[in-house]
Amino acid sequence: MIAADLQAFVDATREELAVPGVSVAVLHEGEATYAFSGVTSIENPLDVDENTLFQFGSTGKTFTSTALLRLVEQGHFDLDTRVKTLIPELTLKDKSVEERVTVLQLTNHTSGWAGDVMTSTGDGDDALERFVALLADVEQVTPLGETVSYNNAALSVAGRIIEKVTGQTFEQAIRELIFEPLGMTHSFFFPNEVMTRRFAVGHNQAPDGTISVARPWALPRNGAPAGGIAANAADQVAWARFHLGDGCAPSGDRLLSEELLKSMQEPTVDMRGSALGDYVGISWLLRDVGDPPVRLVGHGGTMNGQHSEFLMVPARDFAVISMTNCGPNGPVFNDALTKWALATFVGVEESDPEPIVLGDAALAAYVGAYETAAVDVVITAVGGGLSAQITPKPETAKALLEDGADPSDLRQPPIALGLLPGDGDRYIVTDGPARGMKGYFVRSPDGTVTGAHIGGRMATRVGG
Amino acid sequence: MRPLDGRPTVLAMTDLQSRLEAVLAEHRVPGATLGVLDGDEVTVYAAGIANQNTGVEVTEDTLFQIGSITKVWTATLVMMLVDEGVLDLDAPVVSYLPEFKVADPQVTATVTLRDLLSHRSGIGGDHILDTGRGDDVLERYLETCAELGQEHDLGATMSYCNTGFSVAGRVLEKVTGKVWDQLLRERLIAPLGLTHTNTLPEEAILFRAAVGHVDAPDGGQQVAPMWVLPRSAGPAGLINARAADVLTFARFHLDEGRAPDGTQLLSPGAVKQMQEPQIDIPDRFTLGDQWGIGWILFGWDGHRGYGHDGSTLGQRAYLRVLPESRLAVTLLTNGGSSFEAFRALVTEIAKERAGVDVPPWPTLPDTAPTLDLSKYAGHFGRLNVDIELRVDGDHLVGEIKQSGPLAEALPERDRAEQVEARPIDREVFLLSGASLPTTMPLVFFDFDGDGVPKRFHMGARAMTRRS
Repeated sequence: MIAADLQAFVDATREELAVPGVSVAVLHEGEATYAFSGVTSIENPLDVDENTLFQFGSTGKTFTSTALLRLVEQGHFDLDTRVKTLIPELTLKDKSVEERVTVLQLTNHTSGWAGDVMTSTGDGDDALERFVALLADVEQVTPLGETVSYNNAALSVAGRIIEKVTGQTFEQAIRELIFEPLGMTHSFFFPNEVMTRRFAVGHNQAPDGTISVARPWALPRNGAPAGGIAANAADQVAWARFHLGDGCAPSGDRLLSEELLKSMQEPTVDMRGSALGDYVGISWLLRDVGDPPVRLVGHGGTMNGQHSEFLMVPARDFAVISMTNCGPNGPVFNDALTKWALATFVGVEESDPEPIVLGDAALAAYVGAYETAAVDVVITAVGGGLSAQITPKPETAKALLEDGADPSDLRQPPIALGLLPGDGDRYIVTDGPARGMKGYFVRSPDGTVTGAHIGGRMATRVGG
Repeated sequence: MRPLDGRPTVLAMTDLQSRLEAVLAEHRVPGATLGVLDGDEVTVYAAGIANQNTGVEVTEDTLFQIGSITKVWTATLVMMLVDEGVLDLDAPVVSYLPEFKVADPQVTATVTLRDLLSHRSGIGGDHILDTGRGDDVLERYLETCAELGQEHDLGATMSYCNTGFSVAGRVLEKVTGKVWDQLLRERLIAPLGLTHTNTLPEEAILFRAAVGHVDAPDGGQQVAPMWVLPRSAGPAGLINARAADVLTFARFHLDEGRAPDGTQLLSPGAVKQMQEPQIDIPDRFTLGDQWGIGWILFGWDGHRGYGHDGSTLGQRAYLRVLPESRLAVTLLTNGGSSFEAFRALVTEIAKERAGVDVPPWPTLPDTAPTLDLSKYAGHFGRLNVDIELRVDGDHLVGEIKQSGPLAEALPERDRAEQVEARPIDREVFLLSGASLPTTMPLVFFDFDGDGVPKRFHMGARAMTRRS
């Protein structure tokens, strides 16, 4: 009955949202239920099945962090170890950060340098080594250890630590530290491995509804520690089982102490209710919902045309996994599916807070230009709320176009933001595919708005 | 001019779609595309499956690994730079790559691009190894060649040489400052308008790409353990393409170097030079009788032609061009006994479309020739392959043993093969073995004054007497 309900919900929602294919799993009290729907590719369609591989993207960060913890447990270093002692050649623009940044700060997005470094350092075994060398030219955006600003580049540094300690390539080390002991036989990094099997390719839906295959396939190899794995649903369930468990593999072999495993799900830094949640643990993103509150532990991933969600409720021995092959409607599917599954299986309801309507005078404090390393953001006041126009910087646009992006992808419609009641300058997206995404503004001690936390990144104010 | 001697009307032509399906079934080929360029008309037929595990069907646009047909593309890139005066076929390789080194100092100093592109350098040829997947892959590969020995003296004969094409690819990179893949995209793939041709797995994965199949222990076919060879083999064999794109490349050579849009990409003189014989092939039966620049040259029924074959991890590709008849035939396959399948199809198509008879495969005479077989016995070898030939009554027997990194990737049982060789005449024997779907010619040459052969040729490779 549960399987039939899940399949019916998945089929109906996928069709309504015109997502070509999805792979879904629910794990509740040890029992896994799967639902597969649609096709792998609109150009070369195969039915999505239990073995279909999806690029699940940034949930891969939790693989990198779990591997780091295995090395901690083996005594190679601690979470508070300074990165510089493990990678002596680490060179950062801010010398103080270079000396002080710790392993933990790489995993909880508080290292503070610009995190979306899009440069490729090639497909060689030296990709991470060369990538770390690039950080010498990357700006420090927020103070070390204080503010969460989502940082892909920091995970690549973490991957390089794994290479240094194991003497293996990052991908080989993850195979040996994670895939093999957990019996993940359908998890792969390289297209050479993926393409002899059944796999989903990403798609993007244009504003006119046309869906086309997303090219290119992969992130550069230096992005692998930030999320470069393709896997089937069963291997994602194996990952949830491990993190809902006691640190042992199915074989009974202990990979991590229960204490260290659980520490990944405890807050290490407060996010104040951003797009990513309330807190970051060790790579896991945490938020408390419902009354009484229950802790959700999860991640998600965005690849070129493939979007996934991975959400656990450890207190209820529950996990839901959703992998899709289309943007921007894949995340809408993931959101609908996870909400439905939380309510249906464990009675957890998560409702979006209602924004308030403000006058132009109150909104004026937020109006202005902001930027991250990758995008420019212009915020204006519209109809009692705010509107954010996000435009890739010229160099970002160039890189995206060189990677095969369609010029129309670079011109996204403005995003409507509604401010939330209470302290904290918090907002919620009120319309479009990102509806429900949260964020906040930051102020300097004199009360001036100096930054906007948007899409999990801190955008710094650059002008009125 | 195409001969018109009693040629049947179009209506009576063989239905190639059903012939393709029948031939694939007969020779256990999981899937294939057959492309025919006849005059200016291109027709592509598709049959079978791209991947036995997923059941994806082959379509006209399915990408196959064209393997060593890539060598002609690399040779074409070299000739484009010869046209521009950047490269000279007869200048020593070391003048472009001062870091180039093989074991023989004389060969290091004097071997030319012409030697490499016609397989007559003598440098150990099946030096295929993984030097990573980065853009420095050929630079690193070059470093591993320093100890490579000679299969024969420079220019004395030919022995198929993958190594030479990876080295030539590195020359291209050095003089243009671009990686081989990028150069290929800019100089051939884009200007020829090839929408379904690429070199890297992350590109191929977004198309309907076939996977290779190999013989399974149960006698059937199974998906090959890896999709692609190491990237260092790129210029020797890592292009993925659909059949129509292979034919566009063939047509570009038939059209004296003009792209479909009329752009002259390669001079007519360079196109012609690629088809001029550079060296004889001792085994004149299997592929052709001479090698040009990149192209294998053959004579069928008095008509000269050019072509190439390709073989990767369970995928095999074939291309034959008959310029007088303006006919080109390509077969792209992913397993089984595809060589026999191709011979069957190309024999029918060449006869029907061009009136050309493909020579029959050599067969044993009714009466075995009288030979002193003891003169043929002994240990013969080349890089990573050894065979000990012994006399057994009226024929020779032996065990072919493979070694090296590529062989180590194979199961133990596939690294050694029991074979027997029966003579047709003093030079030509026919080899057979359990894993060989048909007989293979084995051609002895370099006889000494006592009639003892110093070498034999098999599969376009020279094997030299070690004892």
